[in-house]
Amino acid sequence: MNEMARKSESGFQVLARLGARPDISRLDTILFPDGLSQRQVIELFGGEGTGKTEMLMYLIVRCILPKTWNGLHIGGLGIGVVFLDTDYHFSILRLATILETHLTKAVQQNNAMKCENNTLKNDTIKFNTNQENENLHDANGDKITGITNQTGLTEEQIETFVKSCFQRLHVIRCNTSTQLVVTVHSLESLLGNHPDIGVLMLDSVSAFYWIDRNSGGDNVATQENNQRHLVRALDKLINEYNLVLFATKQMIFVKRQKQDQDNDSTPGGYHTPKGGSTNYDEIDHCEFMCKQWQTLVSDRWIFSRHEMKQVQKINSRSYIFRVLQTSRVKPKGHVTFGIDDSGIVDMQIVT
Amino acid sequence: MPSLRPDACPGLTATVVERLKEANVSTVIEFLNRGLEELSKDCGLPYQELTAIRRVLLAQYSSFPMSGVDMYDEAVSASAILSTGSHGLDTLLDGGLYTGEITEMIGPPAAGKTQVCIATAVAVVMETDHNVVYIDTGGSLCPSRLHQVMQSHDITEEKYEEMCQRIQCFKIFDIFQLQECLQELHQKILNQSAPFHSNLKLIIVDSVAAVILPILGGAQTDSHGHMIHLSRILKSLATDCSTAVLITNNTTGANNDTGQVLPSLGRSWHHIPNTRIAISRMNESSSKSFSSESKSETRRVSLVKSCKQVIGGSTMIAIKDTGVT
Amino acid sequence: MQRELSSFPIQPSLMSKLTKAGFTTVEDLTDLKPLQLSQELSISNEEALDLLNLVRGEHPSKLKLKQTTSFTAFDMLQNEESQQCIVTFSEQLDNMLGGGLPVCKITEFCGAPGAGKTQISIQLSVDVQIPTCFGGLQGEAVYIDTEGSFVAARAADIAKATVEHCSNIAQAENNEEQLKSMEAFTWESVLAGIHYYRCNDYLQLLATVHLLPEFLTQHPKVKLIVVDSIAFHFRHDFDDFSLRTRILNGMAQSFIKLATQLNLAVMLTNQMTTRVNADGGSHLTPALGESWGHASTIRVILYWRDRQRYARLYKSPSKQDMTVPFQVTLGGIRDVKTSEDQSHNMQGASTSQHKPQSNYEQNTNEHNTKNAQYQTASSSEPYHTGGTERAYGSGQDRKRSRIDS
Repeated sequence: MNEMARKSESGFQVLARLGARPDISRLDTILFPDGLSQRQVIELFGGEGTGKTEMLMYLIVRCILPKTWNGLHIGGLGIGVVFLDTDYHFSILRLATILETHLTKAVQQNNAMKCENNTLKNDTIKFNTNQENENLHDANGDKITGITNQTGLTEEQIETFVKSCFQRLHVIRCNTSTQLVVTVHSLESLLGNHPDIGVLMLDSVSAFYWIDRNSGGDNVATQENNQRHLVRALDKLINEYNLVLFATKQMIFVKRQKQDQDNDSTPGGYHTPKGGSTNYDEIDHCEFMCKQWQTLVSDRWIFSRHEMKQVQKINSRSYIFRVLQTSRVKPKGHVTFGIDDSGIVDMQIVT
Repeated sequence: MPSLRPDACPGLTATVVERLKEANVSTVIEFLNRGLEELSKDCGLPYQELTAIRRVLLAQYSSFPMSGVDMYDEAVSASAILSTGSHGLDTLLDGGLYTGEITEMIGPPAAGKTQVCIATAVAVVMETDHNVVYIDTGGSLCPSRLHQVMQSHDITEEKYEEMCQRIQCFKIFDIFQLQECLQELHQKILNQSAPFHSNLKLIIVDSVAAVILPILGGAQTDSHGHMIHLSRILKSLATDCSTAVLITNNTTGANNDTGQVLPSLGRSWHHIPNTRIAISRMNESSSKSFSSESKSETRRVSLVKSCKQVIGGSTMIAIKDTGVT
Repeated sequence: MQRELSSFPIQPSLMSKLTKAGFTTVEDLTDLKPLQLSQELSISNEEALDLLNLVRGEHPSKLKLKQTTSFTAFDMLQNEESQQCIVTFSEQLDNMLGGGLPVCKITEFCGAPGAGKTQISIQLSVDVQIPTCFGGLQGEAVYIDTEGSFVAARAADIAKATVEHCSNIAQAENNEEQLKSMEAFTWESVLAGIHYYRCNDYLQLLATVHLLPEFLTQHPKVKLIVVDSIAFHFRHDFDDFSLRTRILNGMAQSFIKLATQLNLAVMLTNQMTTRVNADGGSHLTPALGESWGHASTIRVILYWRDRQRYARLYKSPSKQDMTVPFQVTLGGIRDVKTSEDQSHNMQGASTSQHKPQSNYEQNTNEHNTKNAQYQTASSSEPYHTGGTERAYGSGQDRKRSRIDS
């Protein structure tokens, strides 16, 4: 397949492929202690409300934040992201909030440094401090006002910053299985025009699972047809353009014996790990996608949510999220994190 | 997979389709999967012609990327937050019901789900100039109750009539009919054909479980597909038409070991809503013994799933003759 | 956005043929003739025709039910105001329900054995037939009996009492229209107006419900469907819970569809079951589990306490929770009366709505001495016949003198 594709590629495509795709190896030191390499495919698997989409938000922010802004050290990677939204859970306003929080933190840190080095002259950054701030937008007006007062950033400055980050983000919504496959094929031109894009996200790969099964009728091969085409198209894209793919997969099945436990009304019964339990290894992964997808995936992160004991509660958060990272079934490690208004916080490696 | 049909797009003539078929290419996806040079050799069609067809097919069947900036601008200008009429509930939901989102309300029977739906519908027509579509699948929408709640807002009879015209009701009892109705609604909103639809901001479905449960379960294999189809159209209504969608669902699992109350309809459905709140009666123990005569207006509502706020918060609301406070 | 074919109720074998042939959306089928389609999919012409009808929304439904139409809340309110309720013959119970058993809704009565479920069922099957000039619905009833608890003689008792009551009102008011309508309103006609089904297992019940739409088109007068009880065949020997949920909810949807589209009332009875609480205690709760609890629009729990029957409104879209006492007499469901109530109710018969009132204990007709004694409030027995031989007059020879005192 790859060979054939290469035979037919245009000079422009070759350039796009060989032209350096951005370096994503330092995307996150906690999630990727050994670095992240191009062409990796990471599957984020978990039940409802276990933080999969939130994790994608976190990763998007890491990518689209610039390294520096107006001389201010921000610490992002400044690379482009294509987000394929099939679950329609993506909220741009939420992302804006997270970006703003990051900016605020960066400014605060910078200010703190300025205080320490009071004698040092630092005229790279000048922010108006007395400007009256009004709500940035309805959704979280109060919060913004509060923050801006602290940092002395104006509404316009924040807006400009957020928009400059959003320039690196491309969102595509797909409503049908076929549309998704064709859209992945059509991405070539987008990737060609934007050499800064290094990450592809798909939320989620399982969105059309049941619909595909219906369309396939009584024929299993037909049921999986679209899935196979999708994997093929993704594979081609990732390899040709040296991308990293993050894809969420919903837990829509559980292992049989657990399903039998709850006998009430609904098939595909529900099982959540009991609060506070530490044996999160027991959270089983249950595969339902086609074989091709399974071979494509290089890493799998299994998400779970645990209720925190009263004493552990920090900032009224009552849940802790865990990610079990596995690479081709081999466990690599655990990461825990909390979620609050500003996105993922307190991410830690569990040893 | 859509098949390649003659005249589906310019350049795709009957002869071209025939030629492609001979090269084992009969669907759009098969066409896209093939390298063009190779395909050009196999079917003897000029490379340029195939490139043109490919471009048209991609344009026709793919979805278009939207830059984050455009999306942000659109979200800021088109988003609205609709008050539920209850201050406590609004706070819990970070302001109210968001357009572009599906908010699910779950609760045991007689918890007050329909009451919250009615109060929200009334609050929206009373306090904003937006319109409401109310889809009743269980026969629980009671116009006289709607009237009662409206009257508590102290309005004249003519005003009342006008308010009522802005709540459009559907009584639908099966999932296929519901899909048809929502599809039509989707079309109408996008066409902006009537002033009612261009100002439609809230769609209530009370309840989704009533239409899904009759097809779910047993040995049926296609039931989940139909359920997901329904969810797709609800999502499209929320995002494409920028409306707030409020749905109600049953609870299940109250009698399993963990005692956790979960939404019904299974895992696949659990992923669908953006926000979920659970509503229950306050005096749980005494209301269970039905012979107790204590009547309670107070309900506890808690946030179970949210992408904006810290989950786990809860509030109290009271269901009174005048509505929900 | 085009609707996908897989969102239609199409059988899997046909669906896979469609997908393989490249038909995915409604649009793909719009211009096709049945013949073309049958050739492309190698299916029969009829199948192709059915399929095209389905996706084009031209389903030739057996029952010509109204298509989905929208109406505003205002239309609905006006519509509701014109709708009548079926009285229960207990004023308090009626008030609790908002005037009686409402049409277009499913009302569920839950109760332990002997709580009065069947009595209320029979009472309502009779009451639905009260002529319009008395403020009734002049309808008929479908009575689906799963437990075998329907007793024709008991229905006759209640029917006679009801007919007698109406006749009392007619004579008291000397209303010609009413008197005339009484000629057709006899206890025999009432019994003939109850269409009785006995269902011995859940399949029979399912089949009956399935055939109801057709039956109802032939019997347009039916204004009430009673199922006594819905739970009986589902409580035991039903291992597949998900199937049970599906069947029960499916029936609930058929009922609410019939109720709304044909403007009739649906009344279900349900048993009670014991549920163990987390703390080790237990309480009674309606059977069939939680998911069934959503099926009925209105839920009433019947129970005994201190030798007195009570009905508690537990779920209602329009009314607050409420509990009222009631009693079951030979003549049917009645209010429990205190001494002031009795004097008050003597005038009750001639209310503007012509609501039949429960004045039976006032009857002192000599012609009817052999009649069973009607119970008063002090009684805690469901009803008794007093051991006398039952002999009822035909209604015309009644001389009611005290009714309008």
